[in-house]
Amino acid sequence: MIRIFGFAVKGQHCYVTALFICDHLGINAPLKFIVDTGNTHTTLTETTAKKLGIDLASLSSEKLKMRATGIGGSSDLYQLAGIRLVFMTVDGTPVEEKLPFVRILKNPVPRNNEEQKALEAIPDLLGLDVIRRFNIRFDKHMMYLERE
Amino acid sequence: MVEKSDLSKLSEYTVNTKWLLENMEELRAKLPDRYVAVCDSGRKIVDASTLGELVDKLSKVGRQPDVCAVEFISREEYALIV
Repeated sequence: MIRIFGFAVKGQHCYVTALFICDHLGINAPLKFIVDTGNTHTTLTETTAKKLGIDLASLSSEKLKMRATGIGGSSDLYQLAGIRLVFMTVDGTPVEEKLPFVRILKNPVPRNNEEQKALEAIPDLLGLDVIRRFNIRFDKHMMYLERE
Repeated sequence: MVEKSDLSKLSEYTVNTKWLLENMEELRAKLPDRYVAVCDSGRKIVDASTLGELVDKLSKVGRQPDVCAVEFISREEYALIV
């Protein structure tokens, strides 16, 4: 049984951490993701992309001909190909999940300082492209992604 | 192939992230509208007004930014609807 530990802090969303690896850009960094069954593809924010040194301008040829939309509005999407996410099981064993791409959500131009702060709060999302490979189990303030 | 050091990095980052999420309200009260880095399982907190400044401060205290849980702590709590 593969069992990946997540955590569900009281009153908050469920989170899981993973190494985000993009070999062709030399990126290997741990990130935290909200487990989001309402999102088809794993998605990074532009804020995280900048922290990782990803230049959205260099991805312009991969800009999707679609926009992300949600309750807060809509925004341009980019995609970054060739991603590996490495999770750690409860016994410390690495579990690697390959993704053909992740999406990167471009921040809209904030209208004021308050909007800028709200943009900073947008999390990275673990989407169904990964979640569907596992069963989700909740146990009090813990969450597990499991499969045989 | 994942190096042992990478798994160690992930493990340390996970502990720091869990501490940050569990102590978010305390951080919000003490450090509103600041960029915060949680290091050493919550024993070391570094804050700054910008992300660049925070990274510089972490370097000065000998911490690797990518194993610290880094977050902008907004004064107001936002309800995330995802």
